Amino acid sequence: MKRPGMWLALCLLAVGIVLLGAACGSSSSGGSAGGVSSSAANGASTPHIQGGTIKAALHGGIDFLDPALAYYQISWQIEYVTCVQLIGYPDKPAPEGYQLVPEAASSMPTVSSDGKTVTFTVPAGKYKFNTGEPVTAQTFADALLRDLNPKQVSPFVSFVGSSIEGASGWDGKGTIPGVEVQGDKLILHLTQPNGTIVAEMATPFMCAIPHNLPVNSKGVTSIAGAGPYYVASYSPNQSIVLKRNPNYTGPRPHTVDEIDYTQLSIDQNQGILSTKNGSIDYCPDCATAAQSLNLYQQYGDGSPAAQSGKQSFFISPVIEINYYALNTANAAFKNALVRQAVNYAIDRAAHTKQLGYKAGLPTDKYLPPQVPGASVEQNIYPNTADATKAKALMDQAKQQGVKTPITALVYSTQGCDQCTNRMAILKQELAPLGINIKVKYYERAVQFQEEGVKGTPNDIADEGWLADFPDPYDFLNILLSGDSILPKNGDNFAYFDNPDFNKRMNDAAKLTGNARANTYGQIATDMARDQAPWAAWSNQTNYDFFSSRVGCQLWEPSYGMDLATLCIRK
Amino acid sequence: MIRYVIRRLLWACVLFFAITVLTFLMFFVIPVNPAAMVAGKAATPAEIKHVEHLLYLDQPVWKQYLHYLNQLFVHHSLGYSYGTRQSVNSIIGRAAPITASVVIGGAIMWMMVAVPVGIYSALRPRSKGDRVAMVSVLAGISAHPVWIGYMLSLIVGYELGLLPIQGYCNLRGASPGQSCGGPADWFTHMILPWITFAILYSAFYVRMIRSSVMETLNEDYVRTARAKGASERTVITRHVLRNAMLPVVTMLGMDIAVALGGAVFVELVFGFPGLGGTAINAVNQFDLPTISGTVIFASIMVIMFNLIVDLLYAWIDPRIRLT
Amino acid sequence: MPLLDVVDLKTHFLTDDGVVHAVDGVSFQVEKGQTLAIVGESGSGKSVTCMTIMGLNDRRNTTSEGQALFKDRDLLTLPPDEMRKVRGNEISMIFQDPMTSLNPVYTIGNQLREAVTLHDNVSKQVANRRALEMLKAVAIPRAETRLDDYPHQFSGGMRQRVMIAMALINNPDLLIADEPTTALDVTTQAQILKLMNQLRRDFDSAIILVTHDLGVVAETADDVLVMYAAKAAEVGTYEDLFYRPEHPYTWGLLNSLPRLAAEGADLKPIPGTPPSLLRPPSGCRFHLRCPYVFEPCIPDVPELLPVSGDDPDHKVACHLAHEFREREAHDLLHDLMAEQR
Repeated sequence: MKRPGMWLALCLLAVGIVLLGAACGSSSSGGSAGGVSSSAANGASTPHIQGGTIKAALHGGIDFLDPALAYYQISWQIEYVTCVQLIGYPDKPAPEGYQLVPEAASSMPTVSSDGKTVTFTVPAGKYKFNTGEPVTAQTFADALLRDLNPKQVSPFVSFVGSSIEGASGWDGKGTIPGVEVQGDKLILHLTQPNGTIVAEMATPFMCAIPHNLPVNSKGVTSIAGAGPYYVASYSPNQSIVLKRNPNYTGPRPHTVDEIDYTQLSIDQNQGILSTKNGSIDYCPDCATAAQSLNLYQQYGDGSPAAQSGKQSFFISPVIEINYYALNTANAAFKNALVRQAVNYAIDRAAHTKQLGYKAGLPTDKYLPPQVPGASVEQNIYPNTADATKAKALMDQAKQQGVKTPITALVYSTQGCDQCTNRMAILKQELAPLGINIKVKYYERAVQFQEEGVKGTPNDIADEGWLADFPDPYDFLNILLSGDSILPKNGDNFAYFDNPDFNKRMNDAAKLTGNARANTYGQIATDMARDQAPWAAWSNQTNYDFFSSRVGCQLWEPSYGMDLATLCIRK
Repeated sequence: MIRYVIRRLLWACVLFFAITVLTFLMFFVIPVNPAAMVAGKAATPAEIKHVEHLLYLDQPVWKQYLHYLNQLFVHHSLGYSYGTRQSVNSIIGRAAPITASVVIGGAIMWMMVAVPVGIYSALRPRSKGDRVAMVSVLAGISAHPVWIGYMLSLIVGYELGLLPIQGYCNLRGASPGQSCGGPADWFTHMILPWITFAILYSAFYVRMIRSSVMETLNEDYVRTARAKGASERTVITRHVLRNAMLPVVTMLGMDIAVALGGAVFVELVFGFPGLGGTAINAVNQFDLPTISGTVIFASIMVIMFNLIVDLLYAWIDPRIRLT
Repeated sequence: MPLLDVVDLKTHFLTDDGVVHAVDGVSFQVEKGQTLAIVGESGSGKSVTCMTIMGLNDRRNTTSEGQALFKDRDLLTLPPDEMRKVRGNEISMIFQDPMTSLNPVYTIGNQLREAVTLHDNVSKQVANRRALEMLKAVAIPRAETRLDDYPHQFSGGMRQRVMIAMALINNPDLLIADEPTTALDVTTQAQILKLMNQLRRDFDSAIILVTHDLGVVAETADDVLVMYAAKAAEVGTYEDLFYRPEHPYTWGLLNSLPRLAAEGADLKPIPGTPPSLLRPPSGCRFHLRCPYVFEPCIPDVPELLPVSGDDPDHKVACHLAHEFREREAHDLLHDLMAEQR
């Protein structure tokens, strides 16, 4: 179901050359709970002018602004402020920032007792597009049907295509039984209960679109918007103009008049230079690990600038996990004791350090800290290596008939320095256990394609995963359930297929609220402790650097730096 | 002359066909399934099938090639990007003028430097001026354009604030969302890229012009011109330069053509959305239609400039015309 | 008074290896309407002599001494701009290789017209008419249609005719022809020489003809200067040189002429090679190759002196006694005649 697109986006494109194997190291760093805080200034406290124009630029550009197709992290950052959705994430820091609240809907949806009918109530005209067209229940039915239309070729099909009745095999004509509009009600009929449908309905794919927006697999570039801002113009590869929606009456902030992306292919170093001198105000994907220390000292949260209330460099956590998938289908890591030994043998702090300054926080948990259930999940393995414990486990495994030395084939990413560095560390760490690793480097796109073929010869996959939405399902079910093992293009790189855990995950998917969080937290704990199909090692962070005149930054945990709150200082 | 032109044109056509075959083959040697790229990594096999059908990937190779040729020659279409799904024609159509601004302006600038310096050096070999020029040439050839670009941006743009650090402005006026536009902004934003571009190439050209002029100075007909009583100025301008420029014209044509295919470094450093940046992004994304589109466009440029150079050559050098 | 009076001409080239004394004290005169042939092996300094008179040496590495008096002016000290007016106007020059001496990118007519307009401020029509006349004068067939042709459309002989036309277009007093026929085939050579003789009469120009071919000398020259290793070995009239040669080097040259009538007779080249002008030998420069070498030849440089009192214009630089030389020359010529028969 999901996220490789984002992945690609983050790793291949947005970050450009600096792709990382298990995660793109370049534009991220930090963690949540621990040392790196989002440190977003509170908009209200910054003296600022009303209006003004923020000049932004992008290094890697965007894929689309058409909500049915946009899938880059950077595109979603824009969608977040140009969209009205049924339900959405508020402009608040964590933890409220990743708790869904009703937006165009009058309340959270009601789910029938059999879990197969989901009903949203949408008061007509509560929101209006910049064109004046009102947002109604039909607006969202249009959006969903457009996404599901096979001629639109939207990635959203892979999210909900199998859940919504009549979506599979639809020829794109008329409507489908799974999407029903009754007055101000949007009713979804599901093929089976689906615990993630609500979170999925909150992705930007469900952005409100005008009634007669044509189906166009090439993406529409001019789209009316009902959010605090709308896309006034978009010239692919050249510029994007976001303007404040004059018809917006909702509660979300919108201070500046315009956010102009004047360039979509800026050089990263030049972007930083231009931001420093104020010829642009913001480049979300320009700051790299190479510059992070310098920028942090000059403009970060401890700098003199920050003390005078003008912090302009922010390191914030993204919902991401870096992990080594240990292929449970191949001989090398068939035995759980060997996998546990690997988990004790690796020095997560050392691996994380390779990502760059404050570019990540070491972790052994499978769930990133922003995801519900992460606080329930227990730490099992230490952040620094415990060689003795690892050795003991290995000895135990040998008594069970495991033969050493073991030769393990690792797939990692080509052209990524941090990847080669951490592979060198991994080799040293595993050698004392009698595990000799051989690394094969691939282009990123090839790497995961190869890893996703069932029966792949690699024993370890150097991988990472960026969430599409902050839900444990997006990590555990997608990445570690037997259902995610496909003949080709699968996501379960550990080929972990444990009937017991499969069942527990499937059951948990139907839960909601605290029960969902607690259950997933427990599953993650048990899985990591007993089966150890992964060695998770860090969560990444994101760097954002602004010109000195921009204030009111807020890190929205689901979508990143919040464009809606930005203001121009007095 | 007409037979000569026809022969060159036919040869250009053959070349172009060969290039379409090679470019097309690229689709089959790249180890990534384009349909999986378009459909997204987590797409189901059925979705990938659907995309394969849309992209004609489920057809036999020869049919795909015919389809490709049909698109190219009948519809003049280079296809649609896998990444952004825009037509490659429009991608290249937007990028090409930008690259042309860089390359043509850069070429004018480097020729303005290289011609006088090269001639000066040739006329006074081993003089102080010549030595200075030759050392500068060595420096220019050795310095990487990315480094030159960064240094110019840092010093001229950031520290001195004389010119914009980077960025492109439309010649015809600001497009929406761009803070600059029009000839004046365009020009000021082009200066540093032109200089960057010119530094590298003028180094090559100074050297080439110097040796070409020196060689021509030794020609018998130059001695004849002097013996006729021509002044030194007449000898140089009338008899030496026209002949000495023959190899330069060839190189210039080829260099401009190749650079039009992607002045990669300059475009990347200055954030120009030109062909070079487009091609690099496309390669990073395995965006085959865009890659092949830029390759084909670059080939057309090379072939076209080759043709222009051949014709120009024939015009300058009468010996070519009849052979 | 002679048209051109060259006195003790010296030309030195500065090279990376040292100073090359390419011309080392040469004197001669050219009379109005006469032909002087300068004869010698390659590297003997004959071409450099001409280039020096024309002022065409590379000024940066060349120094010249002596005098070249031409119509009361010393060409060696004439300011560059004055010299430019002399070149191609009062003194013209044609070169060895007609294939490369014309600019390939301009038409013949263009280059001929340029020769006119560089010196005369006349209209293009006038220049064109003169160009056409000259092409006819040098017997280019269908001259009218060929003005617009490019050099590569002409044969070697035709190109040399064009060069001659270009050289004579301003009716110069002196034509310097540096090996004008060397690059041409034998038939063409004869035609070109005939043409030059004819034009000399028609235009009343003097000619300096540089050649290494005594056959050419025989057909054209009034006077002859024999050069060896940057110095004059012998000077005299055509008759002096062919019937009363005094210098062993001149004998060698005569002896090495191909003898067409005598099949099977050996070619008799002068043994050895010309000396280096960077470090020329002491004394008589020919002593290393001279079969008559004796003591004075090695330390002492022979002066160029009149052969005898009754023939002051026939001079030779040799230590051998006049009587001995006369006898040897007589024997040599006798042998040659015998072979000819």
